[in-house]
Amino acid sequence: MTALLQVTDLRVTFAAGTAVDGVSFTAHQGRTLGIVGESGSGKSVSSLAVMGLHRNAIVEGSIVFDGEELVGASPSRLRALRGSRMSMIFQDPLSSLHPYYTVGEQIAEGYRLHAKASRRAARERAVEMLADVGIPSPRARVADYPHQFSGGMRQRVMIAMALVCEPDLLIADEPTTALDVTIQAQILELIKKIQEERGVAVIMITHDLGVVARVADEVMVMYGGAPVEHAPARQVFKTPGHPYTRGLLDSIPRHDLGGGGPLQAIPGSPPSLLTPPQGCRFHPRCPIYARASAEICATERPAFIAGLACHYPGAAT
Amino acid sequence: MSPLLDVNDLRMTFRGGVRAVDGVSFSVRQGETLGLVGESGCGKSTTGRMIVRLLEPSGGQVTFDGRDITHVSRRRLLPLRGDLQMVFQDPFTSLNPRRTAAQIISGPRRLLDRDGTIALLERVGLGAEHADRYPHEFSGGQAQRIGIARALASRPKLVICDEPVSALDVSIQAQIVNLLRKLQEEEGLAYVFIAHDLSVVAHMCDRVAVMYLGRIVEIGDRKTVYADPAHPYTRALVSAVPLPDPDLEQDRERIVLLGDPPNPASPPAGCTFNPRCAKAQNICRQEAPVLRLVRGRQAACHFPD
Ligand SMILES: Nc1ncnc2c1ncn2[C@@H]1O[C@H](COP(=O)(O)OP(=O)(O)OP(=O)(O)O)[C@@H](O)[C@H]1O
Ligand SMILES: Nc1ncnc2c1ncn2[C@@H]1O[C@H](COP(=O)(O)OP(=O)(O)OP(=O)(O)O)[C@@H](O)[C@H]1O
Ligand SMILES: [Mg+2]
Ligand SMILES: [Mg+2]
Repeated sequence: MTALLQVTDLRVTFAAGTAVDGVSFTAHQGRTLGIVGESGSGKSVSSLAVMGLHRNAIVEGSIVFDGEELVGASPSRLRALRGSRMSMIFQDPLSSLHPYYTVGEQIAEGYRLHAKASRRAARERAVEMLADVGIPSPRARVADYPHQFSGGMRQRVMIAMALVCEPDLLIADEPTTALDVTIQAQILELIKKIQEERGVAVIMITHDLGVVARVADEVMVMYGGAPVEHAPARQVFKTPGHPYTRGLLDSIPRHDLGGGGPLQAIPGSPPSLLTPPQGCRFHPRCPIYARASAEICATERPAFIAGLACHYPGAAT
Repeated sequence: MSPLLDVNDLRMTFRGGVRAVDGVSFSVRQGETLGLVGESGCGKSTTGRMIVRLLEPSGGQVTFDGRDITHVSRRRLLPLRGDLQMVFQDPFTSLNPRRTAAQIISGPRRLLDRDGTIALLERVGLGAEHADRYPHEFSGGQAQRIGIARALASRPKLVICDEPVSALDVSIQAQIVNLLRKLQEEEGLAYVFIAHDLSVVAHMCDRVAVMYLGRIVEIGDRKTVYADPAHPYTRALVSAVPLPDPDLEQDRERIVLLGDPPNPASPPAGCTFNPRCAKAQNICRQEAPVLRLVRGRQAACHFPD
């Protein structure tokens, strides 16, 4: 396994507070790292930092891509990498698409820059990509504008844009949220195929634990701006080590087990960015803390050891 | 009692002849939730946008609370706005970038005071620290919850929820689903719940409607439809839901649909699902099936399972 991206102790601070506080992970060639976690826990902010896309934030720590340090790299260097070696499928399709250009032009643009292809060849490639992501009648629809596409179709345009420049690192931020299950399966297959052919390192951020179960080799679980657990996918699902992970798994709606009735949620509310809780950030909502009321959980932030940040490893399973 | 919402033969044809919605009918009673599911691009959002009249239907009728609102003017619709709300699929673009969360939620008519706004923020899992932030300072799931809070601020009777929980982690998703259900019990709210996640729909909805290429192909009681789908498309959908268990996921048998989704500008003749249906016969290529009663629910198929 070759490490393509190594992130160490990443911190991202906005005027409103520190959104990412101590994130470390490695992405390997040909492998998929799944990132799951609380809404607002810093998944997108971490990814945008890797891509060098933060403007009004202080980014600290280290991001090494193929041997090159990206924290502090020049904007033009980062732009060059983004166009060719790393790409990201953004969480928010409509505001990442330009309303005045056709979807075909937007896909072709990336390809032209990357492959130095002619306009005509790039347009052909755009049609192929639209077909690959399952847009019916791609040749007719390549000339449509984003507002003429449905939510899920726009999302697939974003995917096509990210894949067309044949990146070595692909960060997919909720790539299939707006997609129905059949198209979702098709997209996941497409990413997998490209990954196998070209050894792409994939980081898959998603709330859909079913998707994670299907594609991820390993999973990092985030809470309150930092990872709380990082382990092989099977282990995270079968024997979660952190009480937050446990709570997350218990909240999943399962139609195959009946359905109906209220869902189980983790009690309490997400931590504040401005005034994060002392000690373990999860302790105000943690069943272990509630049971044992161990003082250490409220006073000391647990270190991240052997893939787990918990003062009571093993108690959650 | 007459239903709160009645949609009759609703149609939308966009320029270029795209028949995005092609004769959709259903009704929703007070305090009820109807799930609307189906493939990307099948016309769910368009249906929702016609109901709240962000789009003017090209045909059919929308009756809300006893009033035909299909073609009423914006001005005459205004008094109804508070009763009929929508949560939009695309959270960021539906929030005005120049307004703070608090301003967005209380709206131009300042429905809520500061305390009321913060109380509502807390109900959707946010808090006072978020009240004065602008949309770009929120995460995807936070923006989505601001959209939900905005829709609930006017204490509506009906909310069209277009993928309202797709950007949320499962715990917050559970919290929002439970909140929506609680409001329903307390205030008799009704929902049209558009989602591609069939598991969430299972927890939210009393009835489900399955759409394919602008039409409803199956509609009925949620339990009946899930446990024993009659339309082959529904059956494929239900079989493809990913399960959060790597072992089950590996061994699962999924029904993979043949071919590509058709182009809504030139739908296939007969049953529009026929090119992708393993059971298609001659009649399926010639005659469009209509909804009829099949084992306790309505399905549009010549050869229901
Ligand atoms: N530009 C910004 N200015 C200030 N705060 C921000 C900004 N962008 C994000 N945040 C905050 O940083 C935190 C992490 O946000 P991020 O978008 O990374 O969350 P996420 O894990 O991707 O969540 P989701 O699953 O909801 O998309 C959130 O609390 C968010 O409000
Ligand atoms: N303004 C428009 N002009 C032209 N075509 C449009 C317009 N809006 C939607 N369409 C087309 O109508 C069809 C239905 O779109 P709609 O947004 O209703 O789908 P949807 O079921 O909500 O899909 P998704 O699950 O992807 O959100 C699509 O083929 C779309 O391209
Ligand atoms: Mg995000
Ligand atoms: Mg939609």
